[in-house]
Amino acid sequence: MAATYSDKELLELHKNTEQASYAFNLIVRKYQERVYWHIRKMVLSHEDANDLVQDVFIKVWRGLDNFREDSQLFTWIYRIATNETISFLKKKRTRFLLPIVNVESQLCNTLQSDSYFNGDKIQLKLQKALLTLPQKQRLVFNMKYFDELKYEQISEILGTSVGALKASYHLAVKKIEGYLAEN
Amino acid sequence: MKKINNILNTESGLKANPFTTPSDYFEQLPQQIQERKAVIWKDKSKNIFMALLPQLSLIIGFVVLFLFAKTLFSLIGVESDIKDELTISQNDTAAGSIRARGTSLTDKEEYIITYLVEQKISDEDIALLAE
Repeated sequence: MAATYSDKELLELHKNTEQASYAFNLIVRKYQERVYWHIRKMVLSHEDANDLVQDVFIKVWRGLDNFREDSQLFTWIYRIATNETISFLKKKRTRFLLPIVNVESQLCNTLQSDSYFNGDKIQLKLQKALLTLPQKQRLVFNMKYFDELKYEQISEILGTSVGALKASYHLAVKKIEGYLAEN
Repeated sequence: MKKINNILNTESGLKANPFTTPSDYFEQLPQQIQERKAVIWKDKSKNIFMALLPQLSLIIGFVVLFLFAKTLFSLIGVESDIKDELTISQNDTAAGSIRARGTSLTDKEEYIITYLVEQKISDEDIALLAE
């Protein structure tokens, strides 16, 4: 139902006060899965991803009136999701006073004990390899490899140049290669 | 690089999503978001009222005080008002009688009128002085 509306149509519908709530609901239905999986691949736990995806859509709802159509609705929502995820991981780090490595190893433990992780050995290994990457590199890799976004889109979401993104992805791939070779 | 690119690209299982969600999760998520939205909306209206409460109390306090003071003054001031009105009308008469004598008044006459009004001197007082 939601997929039948284009972003432009959804935004037009939202401008109509009587239809605003309906339009927002359609936006949620259209993007919930992409946003959820984008967050989930970063925080790994379903519970955390569930909280964050709700926070993201509440922020979308709050900001929708002021959304200027300079960027696509999809990139804007992705940007909010990315920022929320980064803040969440940062908070987690400061809350437990943990250095970066420990948070990632904690995430790794979460992954192994997670009942909502159905991956095989090689997928688990890849996820562990991803956890050795710096946060931004992991984001870039996820968006390029799993979400198959174009560099231009990632650039708009992260506010980083295409050149820097290409270098970051290349580095991420190299590190994953190293990790898989060692393990 | 080439090797890993091959692994990442040829291992089709790698790209598959290894994570799952509780059943019907995406069917229920929009409803959960709508519920959170409703709670925030309710809190927002409450917060606006709470934020304006001190100002509203202050305004209501001033209005009550003003009305109380007005009632009090109106009760005390009724008698003196009647007296003042009488005196003023007498003064007006005294000053008016001077004004009635000519169309244009000199500065001196204007000064006398002002003085009579200020000192609340009535026609009767003037008559008494003339005697």
